[in-house]
Amino acid sequence: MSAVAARQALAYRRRRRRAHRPPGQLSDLLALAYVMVLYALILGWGSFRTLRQTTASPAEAARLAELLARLGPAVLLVGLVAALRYATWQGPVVFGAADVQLLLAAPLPRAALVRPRLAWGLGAGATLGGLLGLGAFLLLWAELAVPAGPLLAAAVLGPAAVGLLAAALGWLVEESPVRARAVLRLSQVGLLLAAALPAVPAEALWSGPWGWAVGPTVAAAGGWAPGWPAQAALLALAVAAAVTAAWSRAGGAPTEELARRAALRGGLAASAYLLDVRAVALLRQQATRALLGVRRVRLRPPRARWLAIPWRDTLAMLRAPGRLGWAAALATGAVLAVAALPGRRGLGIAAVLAGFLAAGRLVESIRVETDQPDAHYQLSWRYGNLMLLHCLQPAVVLAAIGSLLVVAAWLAGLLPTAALGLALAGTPAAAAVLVLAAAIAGRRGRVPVELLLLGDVGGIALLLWILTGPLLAETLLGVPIALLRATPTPQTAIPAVAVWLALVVLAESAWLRTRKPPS
Amino acid sequence: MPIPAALRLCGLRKVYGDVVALDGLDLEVAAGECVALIGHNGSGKTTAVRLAAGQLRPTAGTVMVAGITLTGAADVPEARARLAFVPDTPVLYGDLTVGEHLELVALAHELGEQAGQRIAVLLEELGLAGRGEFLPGQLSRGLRQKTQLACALLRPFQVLLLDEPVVGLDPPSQRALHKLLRRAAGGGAAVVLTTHQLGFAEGLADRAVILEEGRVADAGPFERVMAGAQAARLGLS
Repeated sequence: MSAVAARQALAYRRRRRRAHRPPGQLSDLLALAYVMVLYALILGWGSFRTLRQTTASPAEAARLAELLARLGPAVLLVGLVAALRYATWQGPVVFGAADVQLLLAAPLPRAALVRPRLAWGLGAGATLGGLLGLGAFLLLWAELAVPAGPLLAAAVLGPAAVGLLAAALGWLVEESPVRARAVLRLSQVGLLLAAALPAVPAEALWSGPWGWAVGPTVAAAGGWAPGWPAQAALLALAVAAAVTAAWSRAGGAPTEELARRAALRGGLAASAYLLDVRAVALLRQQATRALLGVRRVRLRPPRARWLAIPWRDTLAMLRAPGRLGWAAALATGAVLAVAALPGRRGLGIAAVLAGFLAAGRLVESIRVETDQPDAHYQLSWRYGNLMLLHCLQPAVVLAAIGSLLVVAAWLAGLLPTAALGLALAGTPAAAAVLVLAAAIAGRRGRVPVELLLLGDVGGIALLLWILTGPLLAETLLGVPIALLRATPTPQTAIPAVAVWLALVVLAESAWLRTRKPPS
Repeated sequence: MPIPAALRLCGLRKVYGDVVALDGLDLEVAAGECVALIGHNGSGKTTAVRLAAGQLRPTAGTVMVAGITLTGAADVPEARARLAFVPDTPVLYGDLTVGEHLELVALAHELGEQAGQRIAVLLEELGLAGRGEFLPGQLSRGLRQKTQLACALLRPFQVLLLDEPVVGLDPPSQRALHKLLRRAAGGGAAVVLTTHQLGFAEGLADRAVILEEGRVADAGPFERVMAGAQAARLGLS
């Protein structure tokens, strides 16, 4: 059996697919692409014109180049980690279920079947990176008085190379379950590194391909990046090595890995079509469990009936400790930002958002309950009461994390001793407000299909639906924050803040308690 | 020199996390022999045939098809050329007709000129005549299952693996499939199938292997095993 037979089979498959394509499908796609490009051009040109009107001063230009050196490597590293994690359950080469049964099971050279898709995957990676770089170029060129040619080349080629690298490494992850497990276990290290890179911009440019890709752009933008030719050469070498390795190992993927991705792909396509983020999250969770298994944690059941649900939620949290880790990381960001720079209003908003997201990580059991609402008939609580019981454990956990962080901030000298008592008293209340807000948002379940059928206003309705939880949290905690800021001595606002928080917790609880299971 | 078994499974083990789906299965199937894997839900039948088909990678053990080791290397076209597999759920291209599925299989297996006639015969035998221009979305579950069976039976094989092949098939179609599988075994192919329908396996399978929690509870001639103590204990007789 030859590569020729593989090519013939693939060509036949393509021909027949085209022949059965519904009339108008291609023109619909082209029209959609045209509209998207048009919007991008209009928005891009408008933003560019606005920025271009005021060119940055030399000092501002230097700051912009430094900002690029600080943030560029971190952004590219996060993108690379995201691409590698994506490759643990999908990746640059994904077959359909029928491809696995009919083509991959045939005695055709696997490399001949994989390479056309791998070429597309590599192209897509490079294109996505290039588009990111193009956006950065437009932003920089609008602000800086530097020659466009070198800046365009550096800004586009660097991220495009990282995109290519991500796709090539993605295939190497895809073809080895051992590497996929390693990526899942170690990617948090990559994210921690990305979080640390902005603190050391000079080192960040040499820290890896994500930094090597940014060095030439920093130099072209007039910033300080003396070794950029070496960085460009290192990046080219790394990309060439990864692409060569991926291409030569095109035939190496086990059927089991390709079949696993194919099975997920069908569900993913349907969920993406309906903007069903929850279904996508469940598919990803299922894929992760297939690779890493489920932690067999045991916890002695409680005697008290009302503790049954907190016990079940604690068990779920211990079996997926990543949720707790994310919640702790987000809460750390929130508490440290507010403690370090209490006067910044923007940081306060960001801290509430981070706190809401941390609470969202902890209320997974409510989402699970909403996924299968009929399951609650097995239990002895009314649905609304069950929702409230599911909030107990996350509220306690978030309050504990928050309290520990407050003490840590005080020990680090970020929080004055006078504010310690107030912060410790406010943390459990804020945690309760955030967890209840996350529960109110989470219990709605999946995006209602009706929203997608609203025509022109569907996009706004969908956005509002998604932002309900964050807006609720910002509003409910924004009031006490404003009260504390409005008074010269925060102590005078404490009674009002305490009453507000108590009323909010009661109102949120009452709202949750009256909810019925989704139909 | 002894003729290698058409299919040989040695110490086959599959573990998902800390769940042992199959625990040390040894099985040899000679050319022309038909073996039925029987057991409760979750006993390891599907895992066993998927491992044998190369669709899953064993945690331990080896799969050999006509003397060629299938496990270890990802790409073993020589083994795949000798092996046909029918999964428990029909998996078809939504945008290819029944006839086009068979043409694609013919191309992928380089069947050449002989394919057209074989396709027509198979469509007739499986009750798909007149459905060649239908897309899978226009077919019932049973007809999709028959299309999948036709795809597997069209190509040359020395080992035929079927996972619950009669699910969704009406009684005449089950009889037709029975006949086709007997003919395949008569032609020298090793046939391994999993089924909960013991009536279908009766008269077709030479041997039965009862699996229980991933292990072989009993194995031997079909009639002897089904009349045995293990089958009775598991409520399979």
